[in-house]
Amino acid sequence: MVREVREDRWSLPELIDFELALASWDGAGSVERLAGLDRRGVMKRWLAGREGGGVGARWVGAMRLAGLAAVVLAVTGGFGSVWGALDGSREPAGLRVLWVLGGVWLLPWVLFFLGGVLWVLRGRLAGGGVFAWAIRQVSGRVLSKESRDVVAGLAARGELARALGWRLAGWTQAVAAGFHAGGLLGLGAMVLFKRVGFFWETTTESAVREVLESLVDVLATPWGWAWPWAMPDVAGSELGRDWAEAGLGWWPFLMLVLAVWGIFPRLLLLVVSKWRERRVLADLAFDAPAARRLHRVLTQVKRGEEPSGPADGALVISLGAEPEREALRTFLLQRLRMNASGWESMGVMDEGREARALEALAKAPAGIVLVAEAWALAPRQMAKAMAEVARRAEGRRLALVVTGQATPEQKREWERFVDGCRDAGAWELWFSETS
Amino acid sequence: MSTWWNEAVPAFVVVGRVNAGKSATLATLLEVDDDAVLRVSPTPGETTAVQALPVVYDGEEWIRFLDTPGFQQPLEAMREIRRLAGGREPGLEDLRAFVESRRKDFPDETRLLEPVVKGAGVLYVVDPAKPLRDEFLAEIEILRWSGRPRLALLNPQAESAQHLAAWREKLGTAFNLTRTFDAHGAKYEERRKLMLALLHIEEKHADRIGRVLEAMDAEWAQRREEAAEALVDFLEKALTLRSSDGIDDRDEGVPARKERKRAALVEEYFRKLAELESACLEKWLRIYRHHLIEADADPVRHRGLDLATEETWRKYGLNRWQLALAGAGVGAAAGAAFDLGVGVHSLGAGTVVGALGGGTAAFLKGGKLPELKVDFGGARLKAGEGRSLVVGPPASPNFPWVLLDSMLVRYAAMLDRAHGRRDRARLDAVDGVSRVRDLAGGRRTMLQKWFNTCLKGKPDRGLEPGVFEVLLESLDAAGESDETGLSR
Repeated sequence: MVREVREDRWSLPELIDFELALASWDGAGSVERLAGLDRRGVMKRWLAGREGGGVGARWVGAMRLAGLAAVVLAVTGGFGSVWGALDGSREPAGLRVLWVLGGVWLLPWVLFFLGGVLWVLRGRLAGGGVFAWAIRQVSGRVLSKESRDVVAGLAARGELARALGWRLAGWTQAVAAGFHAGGLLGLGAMVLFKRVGFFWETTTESAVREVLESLVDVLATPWGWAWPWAMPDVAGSELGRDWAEAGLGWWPFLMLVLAVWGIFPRLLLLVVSKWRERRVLADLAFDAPAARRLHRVLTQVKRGEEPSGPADGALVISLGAEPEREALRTFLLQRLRMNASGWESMGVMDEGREARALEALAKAPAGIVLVAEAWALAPRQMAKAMAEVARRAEGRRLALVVTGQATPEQKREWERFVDGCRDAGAWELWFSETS
Repeated sequence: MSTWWNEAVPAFVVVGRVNAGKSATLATLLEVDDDAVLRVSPTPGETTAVQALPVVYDGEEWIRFLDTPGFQQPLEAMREIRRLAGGREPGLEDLRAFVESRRKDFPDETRLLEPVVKGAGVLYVVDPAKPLRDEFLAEIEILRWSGRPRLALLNPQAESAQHLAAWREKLGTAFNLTRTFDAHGAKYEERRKLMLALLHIEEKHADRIGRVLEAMDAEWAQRREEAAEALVDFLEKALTLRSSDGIDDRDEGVPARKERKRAALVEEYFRKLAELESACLEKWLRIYRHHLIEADADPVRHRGLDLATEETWRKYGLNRWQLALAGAGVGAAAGAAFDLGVGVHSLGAGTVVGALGGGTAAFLKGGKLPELKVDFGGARLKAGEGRSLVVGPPASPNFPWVLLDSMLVRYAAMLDRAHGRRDRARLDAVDGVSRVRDLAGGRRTMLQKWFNTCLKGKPDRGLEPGVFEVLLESLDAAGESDETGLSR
């Protein structure tokens, strides 16, 4: 399955698919270099070109289902919590306002705060490693292989963890909003369908009353000045003789608290989580080591092979004595325009060296140079060597270089000899004063 | 049909007098330091025939350079071409006639002019330290007659600038552009500028030269990234490196035996460290196509000359105040996490205490001599088998900085070396100046945090991308400076 490429944006399912694909990447690049794209575009193109995928969509779908189920549960829980605060043994039935405030409104915020502290201290808490180990053990038993791969990917890749973290944070806020909403519904149902009163009781009356009064003043700040009827009579609603009448101001107050200080900020945090998730997905840097390696492979400039080198290499075969190589090399370069690329010998005791010299003939593209000393003209041996070399020359240039201080007589002898060896190939004759 | 000519590929022929540095220019431009591929030597006339040096990226040859034998008889060649022109101003056709008819008398001139006649652009290499003799004027005149796009390159082989003005004036009249290019010292930026100059003189092939420039840039960026990867890998391995062995119950009570074991482990530690260093340097040399430089990471030198001498620790790494600041940054970050964790009820005390503690500890330890950490009371082995003895890393908080600094110095030295040179060299950190001291405070704090996690044996993977970015920038900065840290 090849997916359509939209290189400007990444979604969470695509990011999960990418991390899974990267984890199983075999190191091979695309045939053609991906040039002219930014890093996100390169990665998107790579992901689109791969077969399979779809794990991310399944994961996100599963998360959505689980989230929705959690929201439904939270609504039910909120509703139930309010009903749990009802004291039906009284006439009329009385709702414990401290339970509602503490259990339905404050408790989710306390959990939120604790979650925040744990997040700030992540990795720094003693025993955190044991906790992570326990999560791994549980996920190893409960999750499928592909899900375990995603969990492993989360541990290794910061960007996926961040994006998924914000998605989970969003769902957490939705669940908390659902809990507050459930409480609101429960309260509404009670007011509409049952005759209930509101009261509070405590063993430390004066202290709690002061705290409660202050809390009510603070919480009612947004509406207290406009709707005085939505302000409860704290002192009057303390469990006593007239609590049922005096406590009627609590129901609009509690409903407004759950809406203004519960559902509204949770929805706000939900929006922030969504926005942060979008920012993470929009700013993906793909800077983890494996992603960097993949990017390099996909955008790698492949330089061609080294050129074959100069084709002026000549094999120099000395007959007998070893010539002075550096001086002779310069002579060959400057006068014959040939580069000595190999040095061998013939006419020596070692038969193996002679054989190697003949074998080396194949490695001299430009030609073959025979080197002999000026005084050492032995016509029969020389003719044999020249014929041997010429037989293998295959059209390459042949040169005979006579070294040492040749006398005019010796030079004439060499010239006569080479002229007489025309059947041993077309040899050039050069005289070099190098020894 | 010649093997060096291809009608479909734009070519630039490099010409000049014998030993002007034509081959060295090409070797540096194309990063070839292998004589088997491109011969460079002080022997005049080393290049005997036209040699094609194709520029191939992604399987396609975009342009090619042609190395040629140098001018040997320019005055005679000029006279001959004039004679062929028969009194009028010579032109391309006369050069063609010269090439076709005078091969025997002018073997080198006809070889070098043949690509020009076929259509190649001209890169004329001269040494401006030499006086502007008539022979050079003849070369310039001959090339002018070709009418091809022409770029003159001043390749100074000596410090003297005595003749520079005369050269510039003359070349300015006969060439489309004149640029300076030191074949034995040019770095990436100069190579890039040279390629850009070709783009300016040869607009007909701008798209192909543009592709080469784009590929060069991509390749360079890629190399830098690979070098940074190797550096991160090296630092992580070096900082988590330990040497350990068991020390049995009998040995525990005999100081001489303990000392012998400790000495053996110290030696092993430095050997392993040198191996890691060497592996990183060799990787760099491969990445940057250097074959004539050797990675110098001899454990004996490393221990005897580098880490064990106070001078090294003074010269490289951070100074004590910088160490204290980096330590304070790390301490403050840890303290801030505590403050946040308690809902800022600590009123920032965690941050202040963390900064003070981290800074003071780093300052005090920073002045210590670089002794290796030795843990004689390591983990207890099985009953009766004694304890494990663990050695390394050096206790000084400056150790990671010294390591990083020495690598940056060598990186700069490697980049400073032109491929046109044919002498062998060693990549050591004897010469050079500290580079980590120039890092911004925030960068130092980030590195210090990561170093700390590595020294504890648990590198923080979350910090690694940021560390990689900082090291990438550091390598970039090191590559831009002039360095002379190579030994021969």
